[in-house]
Amino acid sequence: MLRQHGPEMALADQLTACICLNPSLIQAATRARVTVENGRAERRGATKITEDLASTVCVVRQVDVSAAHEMMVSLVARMQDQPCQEIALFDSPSYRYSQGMHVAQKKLTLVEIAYDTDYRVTAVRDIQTARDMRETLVPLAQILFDAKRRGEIWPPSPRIDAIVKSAATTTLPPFDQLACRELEHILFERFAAVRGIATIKTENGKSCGFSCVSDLTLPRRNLLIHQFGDILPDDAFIAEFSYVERRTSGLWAAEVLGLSLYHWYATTQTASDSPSILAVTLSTQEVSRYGLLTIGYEPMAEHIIPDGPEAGRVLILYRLLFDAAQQEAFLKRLDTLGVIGLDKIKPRSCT
Amino acid sequence: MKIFLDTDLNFPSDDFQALMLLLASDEVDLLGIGSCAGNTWSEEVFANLHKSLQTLESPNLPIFPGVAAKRFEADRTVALEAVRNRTRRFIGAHGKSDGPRAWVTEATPDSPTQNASDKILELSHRYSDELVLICLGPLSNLAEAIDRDDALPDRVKSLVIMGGHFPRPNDPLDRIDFNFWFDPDAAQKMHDTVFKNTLVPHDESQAAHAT
Repeated sequence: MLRQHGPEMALADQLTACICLNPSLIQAATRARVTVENGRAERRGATKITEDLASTVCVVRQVDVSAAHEMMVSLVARMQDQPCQEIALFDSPSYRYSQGMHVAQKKLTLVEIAYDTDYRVTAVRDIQTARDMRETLVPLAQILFDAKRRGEIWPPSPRIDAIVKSAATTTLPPFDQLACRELEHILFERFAAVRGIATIKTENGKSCGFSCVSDLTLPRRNLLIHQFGDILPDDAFIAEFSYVERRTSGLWAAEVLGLSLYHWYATTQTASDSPSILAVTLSTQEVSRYGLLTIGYEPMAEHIIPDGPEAGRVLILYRLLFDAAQQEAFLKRLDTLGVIGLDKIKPRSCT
Repeated sequence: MKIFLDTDLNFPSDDFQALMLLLASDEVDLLGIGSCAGNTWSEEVFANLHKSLQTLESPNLPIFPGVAAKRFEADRTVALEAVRNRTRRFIGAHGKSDGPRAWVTEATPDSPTQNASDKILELSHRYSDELVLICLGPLSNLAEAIDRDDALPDRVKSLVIMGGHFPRPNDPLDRIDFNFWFDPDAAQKMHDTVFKNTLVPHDESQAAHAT
């Protein structure tokens, strides 16, 4: 039943931490002398290994990857068990929005995202008005209802059942008459069992996004930490994002909106003299413990600095750093890798 | 397990996740974290650590500044140009920013009087034969500690390094590990000492994936 999206990431420092905690993860190692090149500039840093049984250096050559995965999941699950700070419902801490960062955001492209043959939604939207929100909500609601009908709301939750039942049998509010903020609340109250919403504002007070903390009891194995940074060998861009994906109604919404946001960013960047830097912020605590969704419906610069009660709770969720040429390379590369594309996001089975 | 972590944590990436795993383990007594220059300036790493530990609700974990940015200014310029001009394929490198990002200007605690190498030496005396050093970035801080006290390896239980890349024969990708490239002298020094040294090269990390 569990599914996950996104590319695989190489484990580097995480694996090192796991090995340190449990050396039995090492399946093969070599005693060796290691030489680090520091002469020719072009070979600087290159390493050479020479087997030497007398050496104190142990070079890891093979690791029990599945056991390392289990260990990571177990440790993350333990973190999820720890109590999380309370966030007042609908408390809206203020955010500063740094200036001086050129952000290009001129056009929006609708892109159809396929989760699989049964879940399709036109998900890239410029959510700046109540109407935009409504148009985003409607297909999301359908997805949730479909998932419920199929018995795929997981884990089973009487609370979610009640939410879905309520949503199915009552008339949805007249969205056009509601402010965008009210719609945000409806969305996450109804579909994500919202625990709190933090509005992100620009320095002039204009709302540019919001974060929601859902209060679902969530399966731990689904914590996904995605990272794109190393999969592009040419370093054409840096992008990383982390989110929790859980197969619950709320997180279906999170997935759809989160990925739509990703695509929104990926498809709307235009050429500029300086690289555009966009970011969505996310609280790690909520990622690891509750599930948090951050949506920006205006470009948010990288340097969103939280203050107030949310200070220190920000994790960069997405950061895309590229101009038009790099964007093209990025998209082409993703397509080549077959992990994600503008017209295909395909879930894979969770191992 | 008494651990001192040395990292060039830039944004919440693999370093951050490694830190998260260590904090989640009941077996780990994380004694401190050093900021080292690498993926970004050590000063920025220090601020990043401050922010990350708040995020992880461990704000009181002591952090220590590493070798200052100035020493690596030329290297970072070369690295940035190499990345920009695509003349070098680094592996394990993040953060190509030209300088510290704006949010570093946020209030951070006053730097402690000790720096990372001071703390490593102090802990090695206090926890002789118990201290485990984990180095996730360039090895400059540790090299500085050894320069000051070459008996340090005798007191350290083990040193675990993330770094190095040993390409298989005919590997078409001519990539170089960023950590070792950034401070090759320090990297060589670690391998020339008698540390009980476990090296986790990128080859293994590239074979191990998670989603």
